[in-house]
Amino acid sequence: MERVRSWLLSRLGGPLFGGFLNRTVPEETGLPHTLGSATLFLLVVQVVTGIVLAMNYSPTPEHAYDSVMFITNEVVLGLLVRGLHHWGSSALVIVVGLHMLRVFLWGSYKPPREVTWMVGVVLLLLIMAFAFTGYLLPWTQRSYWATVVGTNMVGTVPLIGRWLLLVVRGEPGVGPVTLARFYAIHVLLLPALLAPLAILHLYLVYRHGIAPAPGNEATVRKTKPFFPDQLAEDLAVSLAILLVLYDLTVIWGVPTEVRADPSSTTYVPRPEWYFLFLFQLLKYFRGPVWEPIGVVGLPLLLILLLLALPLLDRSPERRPSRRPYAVSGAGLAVVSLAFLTYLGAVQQPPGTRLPPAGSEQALITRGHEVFVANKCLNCHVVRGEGTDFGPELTHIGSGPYTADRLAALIRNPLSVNPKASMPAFDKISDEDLKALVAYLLSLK
Amino acid sequence: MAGRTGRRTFFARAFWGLAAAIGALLGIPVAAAFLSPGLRFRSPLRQPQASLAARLLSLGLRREEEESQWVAVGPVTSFGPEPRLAHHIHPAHEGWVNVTAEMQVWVVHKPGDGYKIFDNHCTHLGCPYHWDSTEQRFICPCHNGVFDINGNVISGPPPRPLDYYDAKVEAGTLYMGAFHRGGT
Repeated sequence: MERVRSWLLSRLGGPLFGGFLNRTVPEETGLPHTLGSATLFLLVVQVVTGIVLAMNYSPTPEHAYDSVMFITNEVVLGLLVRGLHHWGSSALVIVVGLHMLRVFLWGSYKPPREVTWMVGVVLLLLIMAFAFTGYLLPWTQRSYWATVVGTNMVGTVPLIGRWLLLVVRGEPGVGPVTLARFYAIHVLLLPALLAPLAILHLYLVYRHGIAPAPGNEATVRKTKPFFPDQLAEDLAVSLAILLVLYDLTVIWGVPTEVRADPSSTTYVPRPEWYFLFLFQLLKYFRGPVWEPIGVVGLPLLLILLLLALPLLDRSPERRPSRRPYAVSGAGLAVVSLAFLTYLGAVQQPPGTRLPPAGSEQALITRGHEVFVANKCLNCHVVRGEGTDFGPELTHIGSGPYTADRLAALIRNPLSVNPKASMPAFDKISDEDLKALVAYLLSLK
Repeated sequence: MAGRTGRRTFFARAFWGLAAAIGALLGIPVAAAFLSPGLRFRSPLRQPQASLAARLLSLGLRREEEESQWVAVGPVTSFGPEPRLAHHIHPAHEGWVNVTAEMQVWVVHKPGDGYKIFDNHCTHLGCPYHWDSTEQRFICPCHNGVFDINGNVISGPPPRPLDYYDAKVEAGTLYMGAFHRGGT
């Protein structure tokens, strides 16, 4: 064993990560510094779960939703893998944000670490691009309409907007070309960009060492070893985050959604929470002049500001107490982001209300869910969707069936039609059956 | 000095312990999902009613019954003691795609003995076989596998009797159900 080890070491030219592991970090390095490694850890979670998700996914409008249901319901522990990927993306956005805030407050972006910061800003943008493209993939109502709205924002860019929109979507609407495009960007392009930049970021962190606490720069300082002291702390935080992802998956699962319906006229589009601030911001910018300013100008300005921050703020002072403008600016940014997100979450768009509980419309909506959940489309066609093994149901509501007869037919098909080859759905609860029948009768 | 070494050992142990915990929590679901097609048990939990915790906990613990539904093969009057090849449209599930394919099965009805529905693939290597009415045998042309009318192997390389499906008759129609390997 020892001989194999020494042979391998000599042929590798020495320990591969020796310098990275056997270094020292300032003694005050602690919990706030685990955010960077937690980001890396969450990226690893996304990559490994993403690989097995991709094995069972089909990026076409016909099959995307079914393949995601296949992952959720049929792949062993597929629900868990999907849950980790789903909640992991939200966790990633939060942890990256906190990491950035920590670096900002400690002034760690100051010389000589300016490029580390700039690469970090690009990594943040890549992660948002991951979140945006990944969101479309399950092809649910929510993901489809969030993408319609999100890509339309690109279309408001002055002069080249329409051209740019076409390039982003790949076709005038959001459809099969868009889905394949987003999938390729999500699993091929973005990882190819992210991996080298993340490595560069890490390498720069190693090169310059961990910044000491603000105000502690000049003194000869105490240190502690990176491995195992700091790495153990890093892993403890990563484990805690992983347990939170498990928890969220077990408690909430993955939000269930119905299949995307491009013909829907009642659906109220709403982005995932981390884009809500932008969604809300757009409510204040209207008209041909202000809209592009809000949609394109403001985000672009923010990004440029973040990128150029180490060049604009050149004072070597790192103590937060001596940087009142920088710290209050960051505070203002965090508060306004949180406030916009909160408003976006609670404000109901005018004129759009969920049907009141107990109303006929609510019953029909529930019935549609039951219809989808019981995979009725596996054998029936409704408005061009489904398999025509059994009778088409597009106009079943104008047929000769009464509610009772339909209910009996679903519970025990042979009792109504001795030649029926439809399996009996006798496990549907009375309430769901009532809703299902109401939905069917609404198909006229 | 002893305190320093103790601290070092503690962190080293913590590091490896945490690494193992993370590796297991992340590795097990990913490996299980990767090996999913090879694990015969599946989530019993295709019912969306089951609570999520129950779905997660019972994953992998129960073997799912071979999925089957009754599919009409044809009117009983068209089958007799002489084996007949029945054609019908069969709905099937391939991964996440629903397909309907034309399917053929051999049906034998011996009075007093019920209906036998044989899968039309030889149990040797899966070639479709045929009924030779003069010999009163099922004969597979690929490697000369020969079966009698009950599906038992008479000669040739087939390792087991013909595979078959459950059969039932309702309101004058013959239905086929779950698939069984020959000899079981």
